[in-house]
Amino acid sequence: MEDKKKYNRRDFINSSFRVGIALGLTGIGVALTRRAIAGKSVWQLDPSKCVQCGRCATSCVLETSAVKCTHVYDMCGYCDLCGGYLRPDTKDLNTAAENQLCPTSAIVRKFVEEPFFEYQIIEELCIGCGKCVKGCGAFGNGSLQLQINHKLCVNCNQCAIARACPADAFSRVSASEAYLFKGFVKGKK
Amino acid sequence: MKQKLIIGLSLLFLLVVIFLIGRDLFTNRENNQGNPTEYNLEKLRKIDSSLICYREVRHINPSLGVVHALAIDSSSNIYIAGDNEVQVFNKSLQKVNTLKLDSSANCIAISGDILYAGIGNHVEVYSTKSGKQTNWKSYNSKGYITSIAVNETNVYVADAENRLVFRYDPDGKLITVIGKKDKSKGIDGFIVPSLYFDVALSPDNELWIVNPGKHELINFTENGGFRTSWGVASMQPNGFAGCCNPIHFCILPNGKFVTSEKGLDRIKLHDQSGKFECIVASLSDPNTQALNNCSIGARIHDLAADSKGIIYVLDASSKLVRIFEKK
Repeated sequence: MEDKKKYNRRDFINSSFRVGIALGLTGIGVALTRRAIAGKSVWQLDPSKCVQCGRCATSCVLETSAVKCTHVYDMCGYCDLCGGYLRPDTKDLNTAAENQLCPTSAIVRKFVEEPFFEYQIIEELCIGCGKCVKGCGAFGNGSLQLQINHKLCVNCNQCAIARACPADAFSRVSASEAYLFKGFVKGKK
Repeated sequence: MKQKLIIGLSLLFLLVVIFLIGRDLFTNRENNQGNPTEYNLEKLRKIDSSLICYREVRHINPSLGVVHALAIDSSSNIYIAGDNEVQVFNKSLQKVNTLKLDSSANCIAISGDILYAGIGNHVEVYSTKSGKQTNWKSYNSKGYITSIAVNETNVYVADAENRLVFRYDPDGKLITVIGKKDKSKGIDGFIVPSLYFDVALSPDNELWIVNPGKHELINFTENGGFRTSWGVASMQPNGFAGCCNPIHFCILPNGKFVTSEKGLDRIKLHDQSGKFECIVASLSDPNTQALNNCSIGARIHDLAADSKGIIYVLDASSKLVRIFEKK
């Protein structure tokens, strides 16, 4: 009459072990599936949060920062007196080194037609200090913006610049949409 | 004795090394020194307080989610445009009326009981008593109206996208296009890098238009003939800073000019010939820097003056109309 098996301690431990393994495998499966769906993530900085503190130039683990100035041309006013290119109160609006705001002369100014000029970034020279970005944002349309260049970024687990950023502007974004430019809102000042 | 001295000096050296290592580990000297690669604009934003000749005496809080434009009529009633409406305050700052608009106005002007609203690429006409009257035909579909100035015979409309000013009669008939680029006549056209392009009439009905990319105000005849201009690019208070300023201006009953700038967020008073007189207000403070850095929008969205020369400033970030009187 003793056909009903007793559920002893050993059975309990065995069951718990099996349930634990099953839960663990399910968790790993869910995590892998989520990662597969989400795709690879990369670091990027949000220009609307960036305060151009200059730390992108000094905090990156690379010898020259992976953060570079990027030019959003459709926002640019092609101004002669460009706050991102020229130092404040320059005597002449020309390409002389003493008039340039960029410490490495990484911006090239090209005449388009009177009185418009086009500004191009030489990426190899840009150190990501954000001086031009601050000048353009304060005195122009904000068409110069800092972004992490993913051809250069080594995608550290913990980005050293993100840790130093006072504006919390860095976050992980999907690699399929790795750049976060800000632009004009149509029909708004 | 010599050995004791060596041990003592070694201990002292060790303590110095431990102190230096500890200081490097536990103190943050970078913050104290500042970042040498940072572009510090605070020096430029600093205003000499002895130059400030106006003081804020009152303000109006219209309780609007967004404020777009400001106008004052000949009876000193104040019109404040928000989303899809215009609120009217009397000179005692009591709210007396609300006008419903079909859309949000970028700019407004008032003549008698007729309100002209710049909405997108066209002008809409409203009666302050009986509501909407008509829509005026737009010059073209891409236009963006940023300012309207009106007197008894003319309505001047500034279009920042087309970089032109249109002169209409009060019935909406286009009479003159001002500022069209024509090299044969030596007209370079207006340079408008961002959506700020203002027009105003002086008490003598002289037409003044900002050419923001050239940092100047230009006086035209009503047919668009060039008469005179003033303005200089400079970070100093006597000039206009940045790529494109001033963004707004109004003219006082005595003919003096009040201008506002983006970037350095300062409002200034100039005499009848454009010579800098003093600062009306400087709205730059650390709390608004994020907004300034954004720069797509400026903090000051409009200026107006009443018949007594009191200056009204539409402060877009605090959604207030700030009222300034001479000290």
